[in-house]
Amino acid sequence: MWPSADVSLRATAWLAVLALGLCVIGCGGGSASKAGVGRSGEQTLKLFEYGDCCGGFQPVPFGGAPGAPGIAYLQDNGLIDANGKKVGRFYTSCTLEPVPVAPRTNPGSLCAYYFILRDGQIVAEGAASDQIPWTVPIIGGTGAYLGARGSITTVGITRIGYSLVVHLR
Amino acid sequence: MALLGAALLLAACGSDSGAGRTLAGGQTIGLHVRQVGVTTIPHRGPANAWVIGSTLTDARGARMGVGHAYCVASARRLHPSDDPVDLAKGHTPLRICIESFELRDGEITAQGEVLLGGTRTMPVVGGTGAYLGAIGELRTVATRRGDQEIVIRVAKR
Repeated sequence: MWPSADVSLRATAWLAVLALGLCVIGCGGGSASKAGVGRSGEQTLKLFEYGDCCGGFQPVPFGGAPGAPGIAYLQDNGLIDANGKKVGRFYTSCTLEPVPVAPRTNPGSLCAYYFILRDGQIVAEGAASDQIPWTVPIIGGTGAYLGARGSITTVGITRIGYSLVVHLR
Repeated sequence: MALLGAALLLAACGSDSGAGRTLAGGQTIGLHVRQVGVTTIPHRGPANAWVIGSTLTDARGARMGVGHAYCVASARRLHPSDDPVDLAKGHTPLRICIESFELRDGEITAQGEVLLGGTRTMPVVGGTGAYLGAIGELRTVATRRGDQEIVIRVAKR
């Protein structure tokens, strides 16, 4: 069984947040390309996913037979900032729990989130929730985000996908 | 087989390409990676995940350690120029890998997207031993007949 649309939407939303981003709550620069841990101080970015919310959803079949149950999925999509400018893309790689764990109504997911921005990458990893907002830790980065730490919070689901807030410290 | 190089201590890693932070006082480790075993998941039928074991050597061919990777792939991958409507049609697979390199004095782990041919730039997300708390990045600098030359730049947080 594949994850429900909710699950895939959730993952997509995740990325959307990133994209939304770069909206900058606290620092200069309205685009992701201008933000980076390379600059001193904390930084908050807002990103949004663009495109079909589930168009990038790809189940990973772990069985040889057609229609075999999967326990993982990959997802990719573009990212835009608050001005609608394309700032990069993201990938999500998730492994699904086989059954929901109460009080959840949907199976949980353990996900890694990869944000490919113009000036570097950000990687976050953690449990994806079915309750908004949810937050996962940033575990690394390259380029302007080398050694990045902080968190990424999924703050909402818009018409086009998730809204994400990236907090770099 | 030749290993790109074994660990040069750079004062400032000034050769870093692209914008970004520098790894002051960091270390650059060149490794030659040769795959010695690939196990697909599942064992039969179309595989969407792999576990890979590799030997790691330096530029002189001296053994440096062992590499391990777990990769998962979709049916396609995304390019920034892609039209969202076309994305669902799919092209080449998106491949994500988590890689660990067991070296003499500790372990380094990196994860991220791997492009066709094994080319990749991915963040170092942690380490043990001499690399405890490591930050940095891993880059593929050359591929030849399935072998790879990679460079890992690390520093302590």
